[in-house]
Amino acid sequence: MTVVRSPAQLRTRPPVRPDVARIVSYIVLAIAALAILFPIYWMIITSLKLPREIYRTPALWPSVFTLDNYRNLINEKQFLIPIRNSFVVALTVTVISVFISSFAAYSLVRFRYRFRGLIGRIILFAYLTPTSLLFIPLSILMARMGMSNSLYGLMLVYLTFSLPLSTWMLQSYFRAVPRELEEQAMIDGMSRFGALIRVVLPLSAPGIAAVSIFTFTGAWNEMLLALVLITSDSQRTAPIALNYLITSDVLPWGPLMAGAVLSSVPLMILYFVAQRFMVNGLSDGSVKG
Amino acid sequence: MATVEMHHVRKSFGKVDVINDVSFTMQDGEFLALVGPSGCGKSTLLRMIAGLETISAGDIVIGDRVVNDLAPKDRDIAMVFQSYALYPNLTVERNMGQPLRLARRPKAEIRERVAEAARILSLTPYLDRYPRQLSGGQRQRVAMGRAIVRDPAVFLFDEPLSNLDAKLRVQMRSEIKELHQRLRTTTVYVTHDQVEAMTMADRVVVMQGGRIEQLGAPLELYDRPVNLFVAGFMGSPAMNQIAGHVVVGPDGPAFQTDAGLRFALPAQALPAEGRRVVMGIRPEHLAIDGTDPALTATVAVVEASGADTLLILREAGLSLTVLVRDRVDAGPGARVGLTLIPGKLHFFDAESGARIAPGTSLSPPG
Repeated sequence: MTVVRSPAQLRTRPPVRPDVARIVSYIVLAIAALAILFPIYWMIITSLKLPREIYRTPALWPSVFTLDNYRNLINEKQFLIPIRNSFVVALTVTVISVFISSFAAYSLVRFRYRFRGLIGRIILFAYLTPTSLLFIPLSILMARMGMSNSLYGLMLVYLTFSLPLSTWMLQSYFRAVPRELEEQAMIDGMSRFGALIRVVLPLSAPGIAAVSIFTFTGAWNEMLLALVLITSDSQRTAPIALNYLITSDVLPWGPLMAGAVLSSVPLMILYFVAQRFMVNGLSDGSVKG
Repeated sequence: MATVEMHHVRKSFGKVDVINDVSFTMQDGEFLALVGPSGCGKSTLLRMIAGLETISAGDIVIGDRVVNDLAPKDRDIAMVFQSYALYPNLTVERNMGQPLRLARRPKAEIRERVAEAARILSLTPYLDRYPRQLSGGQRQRVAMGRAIVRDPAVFLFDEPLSNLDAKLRVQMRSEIKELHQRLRTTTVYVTHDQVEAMTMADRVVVMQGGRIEQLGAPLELYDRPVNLFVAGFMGSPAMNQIAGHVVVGPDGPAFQTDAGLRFALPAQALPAEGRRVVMGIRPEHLAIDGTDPALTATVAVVEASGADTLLILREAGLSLTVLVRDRVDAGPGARVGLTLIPGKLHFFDAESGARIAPGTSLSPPG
């Protein structure tokens, strides 16, 4: 798009040298990156320090590097079990959520039926209801269903929160896929289901990636419901396990930070992989000129 | 290739009828244009033939099969959308080969047929490109190529040229027509542009409000529109429509406008004296004549396009469009004389809008 400026605008515009503009934008970006990355740096560096060094004057660089905190965490606190639990829960919730919400969102976007608008609004409403309002009823419900203190129960509860969000997000991605493209696919020889799988979903890949990341992160980081529903050690997820590391007034910063690093690794890998799919503009040039 | 038959086809959304009892039969190889204003149901009708819309009643027959309940993919049709609907993630070659690939045809055959279609449409240099790397006209050709490769029984076009600029539209119009002459595939072509319909089609269906107003050869529609709507819709610039009634005075029969202007006309050119009628006359059937004019009017606008000249004249509440082949040197405000060509007049009942044959009684039949 070209922006046409009147001569007056051109005259009053202060001359900015391009290299100065570039330097300024790099400085701003550097500040932003520093603000975001410093806590992560601090987390990693603290996890590699000896306890005596942690409680002394904080230093940006440890004098001695140690893996003691990790060893302690994995061997004595058995932290890999909650990591595994979290992984199983988050992955299952993500897969089921994306699967179901794809169909739900497609239906809401493409089909005409009675109460469609109402159903759409109810879904949005469910998404907007705060977790803190629901955790007591949900825990009672789970107890009655005999699913408290089980990862399955946790998955089910997480799904009730992730499904509305995924459905709502996917709707807008699906809406952006031109209807004609699907109709063309159906004329070319696909069924409606085939057109959904082979045309709509591939073109909505950025949306699916975004929804997956949201759902996975949400389930991975969730703490309140897990704290209420899970009671035994073996069923704990990473956030509660981290929480249970705090047993006295003095915080065990070393293992805590090591645990935080270990819990962040899967998310980092996920973001790294998914950003490849989150490239936009995939549907450019499909319709119109 | 196949015939297409519509038998009393209806489509309603709730209580609203969008297609109301449409019937017609297309011959094998015929090019039929569906034309009408926005919302007249022409696209819906096309989509019903394609199977993208269900039908509420009636039968659609393609070839010898009733296709009412068949999925689009099983109807042996190809469709070209206004928006082209190319798969953005596939190259031109894969876009064009998609229907064949889905039909699990051998690779060699797909390659051969795509190459042939690309040759016909001059797309060979672009086979490896993606749709976003093509111009509008090229994308349009790819969409047509995808339709050609599968060699369907029927081609369906949904306003395929509406997104192109004027010059390209004229060029693609003749390309599509040429393609049809070469392939002789039965074609249904939806457009809101009556010029496209007139120039391309063997027969034209004029629709309004979900009904067929008239079906016939382009010139038949032009020369003998069955009602005021068709008369006004077909032809550009539009037919002049003058409300009035037939009178018989001491100097013979005449058509008198509501404002009191009188056109003396031979009796055989006029309907019988009686009810209110609308006289229609095409802009090219009015001639500028200074010697014995039927009417003198003031020039309001002159549009000279080189080949011909369009004049808009005003007189006694009338606004008349005149199209002449000659160059006219009259400017706005000038007074010019006009004659009507009696054999080229159309008369319509003012109430029903139906055509009245000259010389017939105005009392309704039956």
